Amino acid sequence: MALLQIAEPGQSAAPHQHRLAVGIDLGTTHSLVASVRSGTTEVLPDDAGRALLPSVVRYASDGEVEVGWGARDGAAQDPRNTIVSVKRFMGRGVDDIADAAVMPYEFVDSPGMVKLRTVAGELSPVEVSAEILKVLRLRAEQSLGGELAGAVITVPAYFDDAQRQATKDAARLAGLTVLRLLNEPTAAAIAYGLDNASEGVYCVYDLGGGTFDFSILRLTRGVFEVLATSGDSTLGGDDFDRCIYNWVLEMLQLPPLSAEDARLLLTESRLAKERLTDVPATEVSCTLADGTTINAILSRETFIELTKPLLTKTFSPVRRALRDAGLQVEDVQGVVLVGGATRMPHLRLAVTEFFFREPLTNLDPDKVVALGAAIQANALAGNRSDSDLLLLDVIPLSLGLETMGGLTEKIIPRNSTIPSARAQDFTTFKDGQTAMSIHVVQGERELVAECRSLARFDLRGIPPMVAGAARIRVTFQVDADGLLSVSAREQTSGVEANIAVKPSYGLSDSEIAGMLTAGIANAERDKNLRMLREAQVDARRLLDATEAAMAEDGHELLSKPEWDAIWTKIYELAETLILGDSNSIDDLRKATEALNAVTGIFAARRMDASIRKALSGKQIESLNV
Amino acid sequence: MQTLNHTNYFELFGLSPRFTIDMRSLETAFRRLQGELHPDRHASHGDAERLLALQLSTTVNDGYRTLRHPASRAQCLIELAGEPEAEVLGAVTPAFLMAQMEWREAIEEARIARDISALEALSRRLKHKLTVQEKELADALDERGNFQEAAQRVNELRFYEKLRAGIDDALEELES
Repeated sequence: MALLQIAEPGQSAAPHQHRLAVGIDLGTTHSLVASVRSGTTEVLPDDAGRALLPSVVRYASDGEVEVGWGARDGAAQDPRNTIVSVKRFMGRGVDDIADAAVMPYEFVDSPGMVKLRTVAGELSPVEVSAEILKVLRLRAEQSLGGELAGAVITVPAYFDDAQRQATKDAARLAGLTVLRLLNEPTAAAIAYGLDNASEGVYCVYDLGGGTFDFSILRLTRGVFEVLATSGDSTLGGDDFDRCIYNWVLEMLQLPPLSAEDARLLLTESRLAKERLTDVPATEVSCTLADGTTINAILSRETFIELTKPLLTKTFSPVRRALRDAGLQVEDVQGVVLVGGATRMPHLRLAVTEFFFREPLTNLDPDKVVALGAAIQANALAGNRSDSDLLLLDVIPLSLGLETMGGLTEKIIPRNSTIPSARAQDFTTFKDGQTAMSIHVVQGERELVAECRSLARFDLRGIPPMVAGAARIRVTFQVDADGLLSVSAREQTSGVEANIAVKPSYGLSDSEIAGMLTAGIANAERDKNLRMLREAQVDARRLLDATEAAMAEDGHELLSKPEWDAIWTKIYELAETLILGDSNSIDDLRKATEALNAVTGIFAARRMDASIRKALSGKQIESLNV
Repeated sequence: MQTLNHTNYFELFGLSPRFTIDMRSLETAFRRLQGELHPDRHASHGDAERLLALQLSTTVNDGYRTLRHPASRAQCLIELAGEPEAEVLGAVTPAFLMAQMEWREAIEEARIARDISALEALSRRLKHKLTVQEKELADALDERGNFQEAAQRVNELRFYEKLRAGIDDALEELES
């Protein structure tokens, strides 16, 4: 049982094992999985050689779940149980879905996030998305021949906190360890930038199936620094299909269609849109359930005219991002197009005219996001080849608090580089006030009612004081995934009252746990096994990391007693781990915690050394410039 | 954050504490620091190190933002000199406030008239104002060491920055 290899003290660690990591583009219309294999980044195809997996999930009455091409082809037969473009519902309430009325689904309003009523019961968009992710995970495991260490999942840059959290929950539900949520345009920039060895300011214009993102990045020697990002999370290629659909209805004076007919005509509309990329005119035709035949000739000119407002709408975020970054169109060295919808010739022309230059299209706009995610996943998993790559991303929307009169006080402004933390002091407005209600919102508007509500919580136990005497410091921390946590504390009294954000959206841990075990016969046993495996993975990772760090600079940074103390804990944890499945999860966690605790000082000194290293190299760096 | 004296951002970025700084050096130091400290660089390490990386990387981002923007950079120097906050130290004059009102009215008029080119002209004029203001701030801090004057300039600069945000918002409203 060669579970672990531990080097003797003072000897170099065993060579790094290649960890299997993938990048997943969880798209509105299509999803893909990619990986770095022996230095080459590639999209992993299915058994039939197809790279794309339609993001369509079909639930059958016999409990079968079908994902992908088959589900898509059958969408018109059973639209209510065939979930298309589920990404549009992630982290959204019923009120957020503009065209809910014309969709073939039965929406159920539930707290935080909408649910869909199907033959398989009421399903959260998180569960539907997890089905797509499961298929991609299995594909990757078969193709790469092993269990995955983790995945980078891409999200639209303009996704808010609720949508990001929902995506992370879906991945967890699909049994994936999320190494990072990565913004789609940033992923595209990585793939593009590394492929072309670009330097300078680049823009990414990303029109996906259901979302529009625009990002501006500065590329400097492997550092991808996002300067500004903007977008519209309710605008996508699907809307261009809908334009054709509405045009047909109007042209032929048709009454509102049934769910089945609507799905059929929408599919025909999408195909017509795709054909118009290559031909000047095309026929939209289908036969409805009652035998009515639809026939309409759509010219490219008409299509351009119909979709002009949509296209114009994309340039408003483009201008905003340029302004936020303090840049002019002339400062941009290149524009990368991402998303299948950017194949439309009139879109390419509009982008060319806006930037006074031809957009860059040498990478497949459908695949570029997954490829970039795979490169980042490989780097995060600790596989060496991409260690020079560094991403500095931003938050897309301002984060703030509700203050008196329903107004928003921004705490972290949009386009702040993450990770980021900001604190703001507030006070009480009544004598003897012992509690304060904190409402966290996201958005740019001044009125709270026009921003997205992320969380509400109460700070209790404030000692009674006169109004205005308390000092309540509210701290926002956004991590590298762009996810927010908020804490509050009363300062003057010395009494601490800390709380973590309780999301008013998304799913609670217990809901996730429930979904994980639902429908499994040996639910309890399965859950325990899963927890044990997670604890083992954690322990192994910590051992690997500590061992590598000790070999790297343990001699330099630690005294003899400190060195010995760490090795003692390493051996203890290794021993606990080698005992394998027979040991208790608790013992394993305790030993992991003990090693974590004893390495605290070592970690601090290593970080100090990193800072010194970064600054001492300054001279050499400026000579190179 | 025991490992950093994080109030002195100049030290963190290896710069001398002056208002006039070389932006290229700041940017280079920022990238180098994040190259070592960013959480992604420590993703496969232990909890203690990952938590430190998150904290330090956050501090570096905060410092970069503080030093990059003139008003916060100047405020940072005023604090380093042990002076009170700019808001307390040097108030703006009534004449300056009057001029601010005129700016606001001009922006509002252009917004209501949906006059994008007028807004753009205001934006250019403001840009020039900001350049002059920064020059004066540099003189006050780097040449004369006059913190009270500097504090007044900082407060004025903050007004100008709010005007800039106002113009940007108006432009955004008209363009969409």
